[in-house]
Amino acid sequence: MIETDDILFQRLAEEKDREAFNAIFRRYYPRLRAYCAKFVGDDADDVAQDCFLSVWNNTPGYSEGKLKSLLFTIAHNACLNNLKHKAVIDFKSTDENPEGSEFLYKDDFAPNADEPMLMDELRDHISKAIDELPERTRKTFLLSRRDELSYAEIAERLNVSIKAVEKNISKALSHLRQKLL
Amino acid sequence: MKDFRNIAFSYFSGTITPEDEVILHEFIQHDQKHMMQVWEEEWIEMGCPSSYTGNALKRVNRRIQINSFWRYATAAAAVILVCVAVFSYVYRTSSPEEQFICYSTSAGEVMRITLQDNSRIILNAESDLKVASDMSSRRYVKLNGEAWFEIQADTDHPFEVVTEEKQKVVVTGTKFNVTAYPEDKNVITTLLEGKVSVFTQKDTIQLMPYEQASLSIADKSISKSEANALEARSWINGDIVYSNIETGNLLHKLERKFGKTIQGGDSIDEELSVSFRNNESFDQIMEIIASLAGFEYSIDEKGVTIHE
Repeated sequence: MIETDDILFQRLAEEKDREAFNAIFRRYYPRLRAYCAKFVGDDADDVAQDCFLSVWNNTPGYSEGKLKSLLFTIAHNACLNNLKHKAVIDFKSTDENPEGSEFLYKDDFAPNADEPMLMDELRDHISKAIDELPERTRKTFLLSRRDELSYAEIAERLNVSIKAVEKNISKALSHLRQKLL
Repeated sequence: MKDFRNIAFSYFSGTITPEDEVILHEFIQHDQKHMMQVWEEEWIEMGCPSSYTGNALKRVNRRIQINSFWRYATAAAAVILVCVAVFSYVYRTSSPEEQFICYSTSAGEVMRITLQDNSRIILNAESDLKVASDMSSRRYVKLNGEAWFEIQADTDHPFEVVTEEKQKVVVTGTKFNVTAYPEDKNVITTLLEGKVSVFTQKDTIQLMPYEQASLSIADKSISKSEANALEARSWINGDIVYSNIETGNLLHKLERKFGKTIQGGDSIDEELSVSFRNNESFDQIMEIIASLAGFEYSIDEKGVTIHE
């Protein structure tokens, strides 16, 4: 007779039972890691392990039938944050779609079926942050990072000095860093 | 039916291919007999996690162990600080031009100093601090090693911290940390509160809170970055907290904190992030760092020797 998710979750939440934690880990780590790997690639081990560590450290309250969706929600958010960090460094990387289907994992989110797809959410966060930039800074940033023009080409196109391009790029980056980190 | 069961198992094991993900998702949409649930229970009942999962669980359990120490730690750390303070010594020296009071710490020692103007300085292990004996005309100290400064505000008399590497930090009233050990590749100044100016022979940099200036000893260039100022002062509580520190450099810091000798670690340049907040023993810390950086070591009466 196997212990159900609810029994394990209850023992973890109410007694901080390490064995229950370990059993939950064995049960869900492979799946969560695979989910994370879709988005964060090589960081998947770290991100997935951090999720379990945070479950242990900030033991969530028990709620019937919610363990699975709780774990996936934590993983979803951990991936999102990891990607936001990366987006500041490499804006283009967010344009790539992860391979395969995210829908399958969504079935494990069942109670949160309305949750948006992770990449959509990320793109949404980023485009909101970019939209907040002043017009000229925004244009400069997109020409550089989206269209991959050189600073000299941007300067020529916008009829400004290269110094001004540099200034706008660094302004954009510092804004994004503030919004996304 | 058999096929779907296999695919489901590969999903639970985290080894499913992207193509099978699509197939399995399709299947679940019409899974009226709730086969997924049945298979999931079957998979759990088999109860043989891969060695991959087993290793990941070990790693997480080790990290939990490290974290859970720290509940007992704070009190113990305070007692140790008082003990090591007994070993501190203060001596006076004189130069023709200026009189200094010299403070010096040995390995494993942290010293708390209050200056005439009520500024507080905490000196880390194996560090020297010379303080101008007459602070009324000029507030001026020389540092070799690492110290945390909490400087009383006095706009008429700026406070200057000078390091060997020809760097000068000038402040009015602030809290900041300066690290300038001989083996460090950079002199690092980290600001928590207020404002400081860092002067080198070539440049001047202004720091705002949570920024840090890094003076490269190799080419004397100075750069500014964001920094976790609380991390920079963690050593005051006896904690060992570093982000992205080269293993070789970290081992030097351990030698200093524990008064041990560690040989053969200089060339390990892998970067680690560590957080020991629980008064862990030297042996515990070495074991964890060795497993993180992937080296082996042995301990004898002379100290630690690292075999890469």
